[in-house]
Amino acid sequence: MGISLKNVSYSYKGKFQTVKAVDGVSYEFEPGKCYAIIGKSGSGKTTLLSLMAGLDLPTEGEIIIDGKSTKDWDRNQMRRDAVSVIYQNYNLFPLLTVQENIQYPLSLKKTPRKEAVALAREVRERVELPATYDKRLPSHLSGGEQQRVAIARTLAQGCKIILADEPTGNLDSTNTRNIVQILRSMAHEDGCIVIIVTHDPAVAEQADVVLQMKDGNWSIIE
Amino acid sequence: MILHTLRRLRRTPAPALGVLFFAAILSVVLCGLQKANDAELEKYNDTYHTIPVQFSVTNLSATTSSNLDIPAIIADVFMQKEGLAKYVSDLQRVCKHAVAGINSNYTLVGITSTALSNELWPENGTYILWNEGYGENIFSSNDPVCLVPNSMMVFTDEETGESYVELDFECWKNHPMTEYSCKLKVVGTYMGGDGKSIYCPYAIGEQVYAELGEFMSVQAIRATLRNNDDLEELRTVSRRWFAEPNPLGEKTPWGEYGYEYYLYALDINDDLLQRSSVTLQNSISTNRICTVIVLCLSAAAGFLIGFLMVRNRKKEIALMRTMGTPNRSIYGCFVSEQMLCVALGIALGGSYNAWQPADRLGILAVIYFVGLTVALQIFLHKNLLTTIKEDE
Repeated sequence: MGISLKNVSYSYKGKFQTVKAVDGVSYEFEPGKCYAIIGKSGSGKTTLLSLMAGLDLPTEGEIIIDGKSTKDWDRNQMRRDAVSVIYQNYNLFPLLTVQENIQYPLSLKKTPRKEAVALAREVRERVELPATYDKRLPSHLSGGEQQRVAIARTLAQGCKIILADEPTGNLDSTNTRNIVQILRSMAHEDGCIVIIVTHDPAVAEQADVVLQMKDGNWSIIE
Repeated sequence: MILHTLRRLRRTPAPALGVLFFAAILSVVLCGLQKANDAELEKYNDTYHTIPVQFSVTNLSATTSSNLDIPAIIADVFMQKEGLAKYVSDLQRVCKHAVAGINSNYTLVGITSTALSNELWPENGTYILWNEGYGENIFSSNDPVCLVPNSMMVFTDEETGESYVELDFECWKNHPMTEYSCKLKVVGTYMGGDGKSIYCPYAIGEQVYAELGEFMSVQAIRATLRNNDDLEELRTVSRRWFAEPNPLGEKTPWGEYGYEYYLYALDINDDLLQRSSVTLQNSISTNRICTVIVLCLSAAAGFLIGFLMVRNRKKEIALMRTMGTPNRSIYGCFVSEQMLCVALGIALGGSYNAWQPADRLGILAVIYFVGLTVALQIFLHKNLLTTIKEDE
């Protein structure tokens, strides 16, 4: 499953004028690679990521996922089966336990309960969270632990395109290292396309390809 | 599903209890209002059906109320099947004949009830002394009996010991003049009144008219409405024969019979009924308005709670949407939570009045969910990217 951008632009109406957040971006992402998108605030990184996640449609151009334009995808199916997003603020369901959070995408896919429990256990172990965390609510976890739960949820979802929006923004250096390591392993071991939006040069260094965004467009650094 | 919902509610008990409590209060108020409304309605129905509505015929051309001279054609309207008979109960009529011969100072008054002859009312100082075995009911019979003033000379049959009067009648309108004599048994005497009337059953009065070959003339007609529900129908039907009572004394077109004027009006005395029912009707209307307010409150509460809920949990909803949860599942998730709280609240509140009326409680719940749905739908149709950006 691949993702390619073809002359993608996105503009929205601000208070006083129309803002062009993304301006004619084209690129083809390859499976099994970890990408980092860097750039200043307001350069359009997060907007581009959201377009790739199918949260909105580009105003011009198109994003092709698995050979199909995002315009033609059933939006819910795309979000469920093709693209998974990891957020800076973890975005876990506050009223669900760790196990329920990890199992949530599986319930959307109507995975049988036994299978879902086994898979949830497997991915939890992969992100190195102990079994005692299963019944805990997100509010009882540290930031790093919450982000691991979010990654475990993404792993359980089983999408081949992983978009991470500042996934280490709220974490210390040790946790950052661990999280980036897991994301890299998802690209290199599972063959996923991992795209990380980040400010952190240390995170960008770990990526296979770094793309720098400026004024809605980008350039490839390495 | 229910367990899952319960688990979620357990983790946020305060809003859930708030909704439950609010639904319970609304249910109690709604049931109470309905109960009060039912009681008032029952009272209204009782009142409406027990207060007698009487109606009488007024001669629009008569200058005094004592000489109405209602022709038989009008009087018959009350007896005919296609007339007002269906609406009439306790039909009372009065007819009068001047007596000729030795009793020429007297008038024979045929009545169906003493109620129409106020000269016989004890309130007007009249006292009736009935002979043994007789009473008021003689006026509804066809027996040749009479009630006479105590000053009147009566004859006693030596063989039977019964008293009687002999009355002669003449009709000069006919050529040749017709005469008729009758003997009426005296069943009582009265003191007071005008002292000039001999009261007999109406049927005897009618018989005198027939024997003299005179056109029947009725002095007064009064009846009671058989069923008060027919009041408006009576008004409508009576327009075929009667004008509306006209206090200005103006003549009114006759209508069906082709005469230029209606000469008679049907005076329906429903003032007491209207006065009594207006208060109850107002009370019932107030209850209904309050019920509508409670239902509106329910919709407003549904909307407000839904609005506050999605505002507090918009991050959760947005996350569900970004993970590909269909809108109907998100809606179902929130509605199931609310449904549980509202159902429990209604069950608790409704139990206060034995879950009566169940239909109103159902409407309360439905209206609440309409409000809730509107609030949820507004949010679910917002642009997701905008929502997430707002959140950040």
